[in-house]
Amino acid sequence: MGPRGVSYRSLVNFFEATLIFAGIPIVVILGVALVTVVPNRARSRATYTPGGNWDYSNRFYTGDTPVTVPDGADRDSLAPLGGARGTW
Amino acid sequence: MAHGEVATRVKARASLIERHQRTFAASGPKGDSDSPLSRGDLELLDDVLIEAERVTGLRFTAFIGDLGTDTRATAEGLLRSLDDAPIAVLVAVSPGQRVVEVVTGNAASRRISDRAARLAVLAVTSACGVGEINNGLVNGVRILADQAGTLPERSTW
Repeated sequence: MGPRGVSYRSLVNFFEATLIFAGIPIVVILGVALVTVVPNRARSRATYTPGGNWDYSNRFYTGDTPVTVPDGADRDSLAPLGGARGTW
Repeated sequence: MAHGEVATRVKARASLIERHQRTFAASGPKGDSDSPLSRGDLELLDDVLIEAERVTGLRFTAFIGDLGTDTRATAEGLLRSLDDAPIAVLVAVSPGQRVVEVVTGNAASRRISDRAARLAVLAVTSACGVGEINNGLVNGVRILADQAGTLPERSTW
């Protein structure tokens, strides 16, 4: 490092400096965003609206907490089953 | 596709079904693309199901999908496929048919009356009516668990 400090060999003006220190990072960020967002958008499905069609496969979720069935419960006929029904 | 691949897959599936004694949830993990619920939704539903089971001692299940022409019979069939069917509670939602079925096993129906099940159905239909399937299921399970009440020995957990 000489007495005149660090400098480019040729003079860099304001616009070139902006291009290097702001332009390149912006291009990189936009590139990464494009790579992540576009495939996600392409894969995503339309959100459900009431009355719209439903083309997902069936899903059955159950808890896995250990539970004990009482001795008196009728396991075969399961009668009477309770419950309710509704539409929207 | 390699020769014999389908047959192997069918055989593997058959053995899984035999092991689990049910025809649903017998497949391995799938990607998110065919999942009607997002990961956050699934985590919430999981938490709610487990909390409901821990508090009430009943088996809570949720179904999303087609319930066929006889929705009640299909939902009852789903409940019967469970090992703990007498104490199981099922909230089945068919968004394509816009139907909600709540089924309670014979022992569970002593804790959750049909009147209480109707309350849960009301919550599910109001949420699903604005397209919030996940919130409907979560609210439905929570209401059913509230109605079933906490087991005495678990009230101080």
